[in-house]
Amino acid sequence: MTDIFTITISVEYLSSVFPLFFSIVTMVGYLRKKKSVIDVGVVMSIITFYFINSRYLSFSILNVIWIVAFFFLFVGIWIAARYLLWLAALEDSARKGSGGKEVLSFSRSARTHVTYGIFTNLLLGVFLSVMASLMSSYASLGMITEGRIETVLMLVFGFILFLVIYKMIDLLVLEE
Amino acid sequence: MKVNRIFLFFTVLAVMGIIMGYLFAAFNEWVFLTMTISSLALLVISSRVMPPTSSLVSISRMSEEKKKEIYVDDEIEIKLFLKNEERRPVLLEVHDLLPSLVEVIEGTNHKVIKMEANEEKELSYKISCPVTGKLEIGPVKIRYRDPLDFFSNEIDPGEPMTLRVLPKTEEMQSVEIHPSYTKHWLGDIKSKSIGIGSEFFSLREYHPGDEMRDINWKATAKHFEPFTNEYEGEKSGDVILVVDGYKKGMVGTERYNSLRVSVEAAASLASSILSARNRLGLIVSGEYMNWIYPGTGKNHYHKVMANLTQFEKGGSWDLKGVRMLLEDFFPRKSLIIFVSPLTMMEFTETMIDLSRKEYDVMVVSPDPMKIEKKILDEPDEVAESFCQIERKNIIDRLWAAGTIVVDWDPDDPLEPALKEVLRYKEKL
Repeated sequence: MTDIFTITISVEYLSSVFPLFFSIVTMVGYLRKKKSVIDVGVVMSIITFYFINSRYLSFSILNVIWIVAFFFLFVGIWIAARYLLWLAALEDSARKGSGGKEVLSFSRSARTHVTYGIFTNLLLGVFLSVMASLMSSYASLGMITEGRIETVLMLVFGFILFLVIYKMIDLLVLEE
Repeated sequence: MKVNRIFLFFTVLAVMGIIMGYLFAAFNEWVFLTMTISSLALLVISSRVMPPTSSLVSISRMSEEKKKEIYVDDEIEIKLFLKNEERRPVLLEVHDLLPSLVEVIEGTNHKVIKMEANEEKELSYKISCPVTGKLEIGPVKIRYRDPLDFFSNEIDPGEPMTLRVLPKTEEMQSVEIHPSYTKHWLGDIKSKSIGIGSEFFSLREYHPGDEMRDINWKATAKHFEPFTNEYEGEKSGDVILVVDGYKKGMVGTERYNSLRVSVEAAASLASSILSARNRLGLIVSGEYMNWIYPGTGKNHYHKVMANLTQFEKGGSWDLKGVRMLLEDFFPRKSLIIFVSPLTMMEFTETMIDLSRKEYDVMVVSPDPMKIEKKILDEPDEVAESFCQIERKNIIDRLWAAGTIVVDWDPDDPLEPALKEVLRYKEKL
């Protein structure tokens, strides 16, 4: 009985180390300027993080927000790291032919624009994900909630989905 | 439009959520479901930032004062005018492609810019080129990247701009390069015979048909019969420049080499010869045999310069071709000026052969050792002394065959070296 308990503990302990390990892989990838290592590191960190949490987290609105927030935190770091590497490569290329002042100014403007772009898109992503996760979880788990909450959730989700589809159609029409 | 790897990774995450939820059914499945939903949400949001495939940016390019020609090492400002044709702000990577030898002096040709909807922006940078030739500036590559880095789109609007880099010419006012044989047409060479010119030569009796302005009124008044002035004829001759563009004999680097200094010397000589109203012909033996029949005037000068800037170094043509051109197509009794570092024996033999025939031959030779010394940090002294002995032997052989040889250090101006040799030749 003790042996089984020890094995279980060590497996749990080991599995909790995986996200940390893959986060270090991501950092190494960033420092070595290897985009593919960053990509694999982040994807594995997300998968292992979800695997661990799937064992302990019970279903609640707070936990849904918590897990979605972590997902988007990983994604935010991932996209920002890729952008920083791209900008660094560009700065290097531009510095070869100029004094550096101009390079810094364009780099600063690009960083601001990118940060704003990433932030707004991820925020929308968090919102959409929380809504959809709650709705689908309630539906799949067969939980019964108050009719009013469900209606509000349905309305908000439907509205956002409609907006996104409208935007997509708008873009497709523009392309033509 | 290109879908980046990160987009595929999110698709993998969405699928992994479903698979893991199915495999680990004993755990809290809703967590895996959240992973799938979050990934799908991001994929849906990516539609907001999809790059347009239609015209994203309109672009126009202009060089400083609309210049199409510059001299080697001169600076020129390139301006790009961009207009965002989209109804949303975009982040663009703008890269104006430049040939590898072009140096960016000020500003940058590779930049990231943010453009608001319908905004117009101007980008400028200064370049210089250390080698002669025809350059293609551009085309401009514009890459759109969305903030999530899911998609990218590369477009290249606009045509490349062609810029001609001319060799630097040296003004040689105190040197007069005259062919020994003059022809009938007007020039600057005093022919020591009666003809059309500006210098008084002699007087003679008036013949019907003489111009009124040529009548010497003083002599007419003295002798009570009309006398006419006669002038010293000013004529010109044919000069043919032969530039050694053989790659095999080239000394130096891509930026600074014997070919570059030879072309600069040839351009200076061409300018001086044409300004003295001589006819000038050109043969450049590089990858192809370029030649121009003798001519004169400003247009001819531009033709010569264009040929000097455009030729490619090489060596697929035999030197017999040069000799055949000179003997069969170009006028006899011309002054032939070879511009060569004298690193190839075949070239030297051709010069000796021609000087034994009815040609005046002059050689302007940029010293290849001086070029190499400038490039190398620690030159091999033994090898250098051997090369110097060899070069001296070649020069002595050429002098012995009646060729005028200008041994020129490319770091110094050509004019004094040329002047010294011509003075020495006159004394002989």
